[in-house]
Amino acid sequence: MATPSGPLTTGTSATPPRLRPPWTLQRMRFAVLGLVAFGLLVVSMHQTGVSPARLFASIDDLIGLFQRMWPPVYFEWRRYLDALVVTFFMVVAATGLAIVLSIPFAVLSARNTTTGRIAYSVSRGIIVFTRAVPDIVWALVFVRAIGIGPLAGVLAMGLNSIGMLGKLYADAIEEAPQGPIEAMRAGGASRIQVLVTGILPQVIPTWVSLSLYRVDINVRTSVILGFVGAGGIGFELQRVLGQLVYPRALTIVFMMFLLIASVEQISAFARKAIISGEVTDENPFKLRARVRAYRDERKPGSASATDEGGVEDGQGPAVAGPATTVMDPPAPGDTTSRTIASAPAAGTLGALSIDPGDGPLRPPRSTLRRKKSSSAIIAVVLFFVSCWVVGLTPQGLASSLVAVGQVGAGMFPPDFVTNWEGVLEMLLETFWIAVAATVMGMILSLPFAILAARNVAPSRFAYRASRFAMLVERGIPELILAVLFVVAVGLGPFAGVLALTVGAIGFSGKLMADAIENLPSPGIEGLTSVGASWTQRVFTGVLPQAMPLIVGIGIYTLDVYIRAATILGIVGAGGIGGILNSTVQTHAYDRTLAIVLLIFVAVYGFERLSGWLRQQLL
Amino acid sequence: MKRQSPSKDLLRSRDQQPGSSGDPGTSGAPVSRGETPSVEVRELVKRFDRGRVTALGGVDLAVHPGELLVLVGLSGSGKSTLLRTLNGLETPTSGQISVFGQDPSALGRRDLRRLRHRIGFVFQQFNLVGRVTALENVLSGALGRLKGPRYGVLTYRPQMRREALEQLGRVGLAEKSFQRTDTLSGGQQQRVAIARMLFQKPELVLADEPVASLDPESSRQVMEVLFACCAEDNLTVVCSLHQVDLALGWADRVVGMRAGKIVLDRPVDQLDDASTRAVYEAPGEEQ
Ligand SMILES: Nc1ncnc2c1ncn2[C@@H]1O[C@H](COP(=O)(O)OP(=O)(O)OP(=O)(O)O)[C@@H](O)[C@H]1O
Ligand SMILES: [Mg+2]
Repeated sequence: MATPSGPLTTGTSATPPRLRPPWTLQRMRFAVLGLVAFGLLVVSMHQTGVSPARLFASIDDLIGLFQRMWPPVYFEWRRYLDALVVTFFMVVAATGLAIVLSIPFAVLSARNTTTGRIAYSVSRGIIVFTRAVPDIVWALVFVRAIGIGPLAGVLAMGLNSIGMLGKLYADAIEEAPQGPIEAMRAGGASRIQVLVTGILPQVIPTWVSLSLYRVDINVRTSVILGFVGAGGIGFELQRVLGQLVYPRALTIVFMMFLLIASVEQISAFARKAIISGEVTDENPFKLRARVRAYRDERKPGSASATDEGGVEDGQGPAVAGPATTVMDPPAPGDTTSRTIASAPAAGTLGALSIDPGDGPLRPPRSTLRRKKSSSAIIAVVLFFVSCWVVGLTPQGLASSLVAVGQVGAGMFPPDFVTNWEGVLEMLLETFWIAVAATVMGMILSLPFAILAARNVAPSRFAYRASRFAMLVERGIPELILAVLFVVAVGLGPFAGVLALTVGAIGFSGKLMADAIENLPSPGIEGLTSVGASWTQRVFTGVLPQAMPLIVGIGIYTLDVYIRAATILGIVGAGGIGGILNSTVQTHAYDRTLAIVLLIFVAVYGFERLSGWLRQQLL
Repeated sequence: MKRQSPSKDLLRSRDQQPGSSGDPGTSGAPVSRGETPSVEVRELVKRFDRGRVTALGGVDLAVHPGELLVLVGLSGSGKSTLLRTLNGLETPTSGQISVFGQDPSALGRRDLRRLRHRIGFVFQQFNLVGRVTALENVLSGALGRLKGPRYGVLTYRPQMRREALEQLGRVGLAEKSFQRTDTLSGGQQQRVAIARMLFQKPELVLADEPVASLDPESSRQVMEVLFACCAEDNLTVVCSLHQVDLALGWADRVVGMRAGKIVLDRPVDQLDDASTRAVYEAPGEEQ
């Protein structure tokens, strides 16, 4: 209660003691922010047609949809399984393609390996562009250009992945220790030799981890892409929904979920194995930070923009791997002096030098080496099988490049004029969808977050149940949720808002739960010792401490959701995606490019704004 | 300071070469040999940051074949810059450089590679690839004479591997050949770097404070390995060093630098404590 300006001796002064806290700058900021959030919520609900009555009604709609879907029927399961396998191969082929194509771009766009200014700018430009266009937009374009089928999906994901992998690979090259590189250069090694012998061994673990992370993202994307005709399980979902056979749709969603969850588990396991096999002081969290930093600056909504789960799985700090042997301290006067002693006498290599013919000339066999080489072989074989399955042949690639060239040519010059009022209106609608979903989603996910924080959860069961709910929720991509909500409540922004709101449980909920777990515990313990109840502890001990973090997560969520909202319209859930889709369907690619550029500018602008806001508050 | 153990004296193979006319005591014996110098720089100036920092302010120096020259000087006096300019890692602002009769700053990429291959460089920070085996690091010394990229020990011919193992043996690390380099101690890593340099089969060795990040005992050991091997292969050596005494018994000549200029240049026999100390102290009355 002591104010910064006055001493505690309240009795002597004439003014009565202060009974409310003074208005500090921080408090005012939060108050203003609260008002702004409330205002935004009201306006956005109005704009997107969300009202309490409609929300309640939608619960009935959802229950209705679920009843129509239940029980799931399995009699087409072989067909879905095939589609699921195709989806998996699509992911492998797309990621493999992206890896192969990303490496040259990464090399050219890393400052320490690029060949010149022009190569640097061109490859950076390509990387930015492939990433700026959401993968689902690429998919629309490819489906138009080369027809319905998995190949379109593979190319779309592959192209979009180049943007991410190329950039992160290049970062890894730039961060690799420069000493060995300089040493090789000083020894007369050529550029390509330096690259292969000096840089490659240093960046490979990072590259592999990043690629696995990209596999996670692509799995989530792939189930969506099918929905616009790019093959795989998503295509099946679109088909059965079109035929209104909802019980089958539930089966398909369930299978999608299984695929996403199992691939995520496998890749998390593999990443962990890679990291623990490393004897370096490199902190695995650096990788995590790198991915996060990358995501923070990610450009307009890729289909999986709200994905957060992949890298979070607790990767322990690097531990000494099997390759470690005990270090011998150099034995003074032992080998060294013997070497020297022999020098003048012999004039050739001394007698103590090891017998030239005797030493092993190949590295000793070790389980680590075996594991490494066998995983590499498996990955390569899997990639080729996948290419074969999805029809990714050199000819296919070449002909699709031609098709892409034609589409690309049709994009210029971008047409900003046609129907600009409509575009503007839909851009605004996109924004309002994101705002409504963020505010409602934060409110909905906060209880989940509190239950899912280990240090606050009232019981083991509540903790487990809440974490599980988040995990399940994360396993269903937002766009699939949007598809289901469109079926339940009809076309329009309302469905989009609902999809993203529910999506927040897995996304913001998990972020908040992790943030709460990291809060300093003494405050909470202190309240326990006072005899406070659980709710009292939450409201007095946890929420005030967590508030800045929660606000920060809210702003971040809004940032991510603006990107996600740009593509909701493709499945009819409101926002700019609808127009985007129709321009592709009518081959008006010049308008497509114009819209993509507008989205890019808007998203980038908001990203800067939200970054600034977060800095102000935290 | 002039501590010269008998064993070390015995090892000065250089002094027993015919070239030095059996009179190791004579000052500047190598210099008076009249051969064309391996390295010659004139009026060498190097500025950084658009001329704001002068690292080398007009250096004249000649190093003769087979000579072992030690470069001393305060931190920031320009030792590293001088060494790096000699093999083209830095381009001079002005002045002339000649290494084996060639000017590294004027060479095309391919010729520069060829020249660099004749110059071994030992770095203070070892500059090894930490994740790969010691042998692979040694093998990478041969890249300058190989065509095409190499990845992994098995991409080098067995004969090369055998030779690389020999070099590891010379520095006393034969049994560590397949250990990951970043699990070796600092002194061992620098010895791997020396083996890499030797495997490169250079004619000139530039060593930039090779022991500055090592403890005294490893420092002594590493310097002995470096100098002994270079002496054995009859290499020309320019080595910057903070502890001159580590080079006594090996060095022919000591050159002191201060603020980008050479302030001391004399045969090691004529060296006394005072003149060495002067390099590190008040602005020079030297020369
Ligand atoms: N790449 C660079 N950019 C800017 N200034 C540099 C660069 N390299 C060296 N310098 C400057 O040139 C001067 C000489 O540096 P140099 O590294 O040659 O000194 P040194 O004698 O090797 O010192 P030390 O004993 O600490 O290694 C210093 O003032 C340094 O700051
Ligand atoms: Mg230096």
